[in-house]
Amino acid sequence: MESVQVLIPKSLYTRVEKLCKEISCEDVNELLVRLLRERVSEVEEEIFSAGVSEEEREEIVKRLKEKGYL
Amino acid sequence: MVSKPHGGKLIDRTVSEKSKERLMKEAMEMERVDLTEGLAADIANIAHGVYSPLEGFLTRDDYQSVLDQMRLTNDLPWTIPIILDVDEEFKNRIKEGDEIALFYKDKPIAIMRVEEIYPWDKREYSRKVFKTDDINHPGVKKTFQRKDYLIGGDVLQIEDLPEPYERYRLWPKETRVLFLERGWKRIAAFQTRNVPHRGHEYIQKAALTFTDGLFINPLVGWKKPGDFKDEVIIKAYEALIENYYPKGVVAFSILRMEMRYAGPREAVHHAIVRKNFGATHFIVGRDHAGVGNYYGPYEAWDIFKNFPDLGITPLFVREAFYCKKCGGMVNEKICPHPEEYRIRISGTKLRKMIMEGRMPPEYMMRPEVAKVVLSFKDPFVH
Ligand SMILES: [Zn+2]
Repeated sequence: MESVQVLIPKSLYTRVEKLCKEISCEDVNELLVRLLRERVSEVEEEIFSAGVSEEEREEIVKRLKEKGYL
Repeated sequence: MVSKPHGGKLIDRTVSEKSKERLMKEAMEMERVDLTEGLAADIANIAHGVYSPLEGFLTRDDYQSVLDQMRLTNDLPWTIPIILDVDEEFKNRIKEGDEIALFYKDKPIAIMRVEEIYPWDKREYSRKVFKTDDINHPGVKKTFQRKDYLIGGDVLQIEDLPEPYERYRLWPKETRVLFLERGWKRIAAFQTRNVPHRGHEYIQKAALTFTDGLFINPLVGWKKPGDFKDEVIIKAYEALIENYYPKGVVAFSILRMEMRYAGPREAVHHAIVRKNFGATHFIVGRDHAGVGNYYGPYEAWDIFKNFPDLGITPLFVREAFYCKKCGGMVNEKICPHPEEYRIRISGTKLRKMIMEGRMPPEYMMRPEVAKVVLSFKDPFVH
């Protein structure tokens, strides 16, 4: 996979390194990527909305009733 | 809360009633590709957000990234390439930037903007997606029958496919509203291509015990010979839900999507798709989406370790069996008794009984379900 370099505080790196040893993970970089991915997807989900408009919702509810789901 | 769509936004590539007629006319003037049933289903799934964040067929970089990293180039988990194949003769008639019409059963169902045309290596695809290039694997066999070039680009669906089981067709927008209306916050999705036996019911009920709702979502469409026909699966589930589930805890709808038999990769794909429907949990069985002996029994569980950012929680449920000593359906984790007390439900044994028109015993299949299955003259795909 193509990679880029980012700068993070040394203290944070050391902290993650320590955590890495604690949970017997082999690669600090891998752990960082994993943690970052987890958190990024959480933040994304908080930001993006998937809502339907009130009008559309009513239409769907009507359809669901016709089909016997509600 | 129901799950957020994969990538954050539910994709909608359908068109309004108003523009349908105009687009239909335009499509008649364009170069045309005739689609297989599976591809037509893929287009509907793209258009209705089942495959969010995809807005079309994969372009080369995304295709390669899915093969190599099991992620799209935007880093989102994605394990099965969604691709459109064309032959050399067609490839020579179009160029990048063109709009082409996608036909199914002699009707234009979508328009596609050709972003990229590229060759693909079917052997590489097979080895990476199916972990084998053995032509006896049904997915590999199908792959090698496909045409030699791929085209990537966004699609716009003009018209939905006719659905013989329309009553049971729900798109992600609809299931999301349904879950919300029912007040479900934790929703366990169950993928299937089978008629339900007691083992399935046990697993579903185990998941339902700690969630608010169960979303049973069988695949309909192409399956390999020997699998159950769509109608049989639907009718069998009707009988099970009617007789063995309380009202209002199950949502049952179908999904028209081809089985790929890609084992672990397909398990992740199935999970992503159900996330788009709004499910928060996804039941992953032993040898999920497997076929023959191509995948280890727990490979479909292990693969999820690669995706801490999947956004839907996999539930790894052990195989259920009947224990004479426990006096009910149990699994390895909760039954301490030796093998002699255990009666395993084997799909092969069940199939044989049904083929011979014999009623399976009650510990294998509910009599109401068995009756429905046996009422079909020929319940299997050939
Ligand atoms: Zn027992």
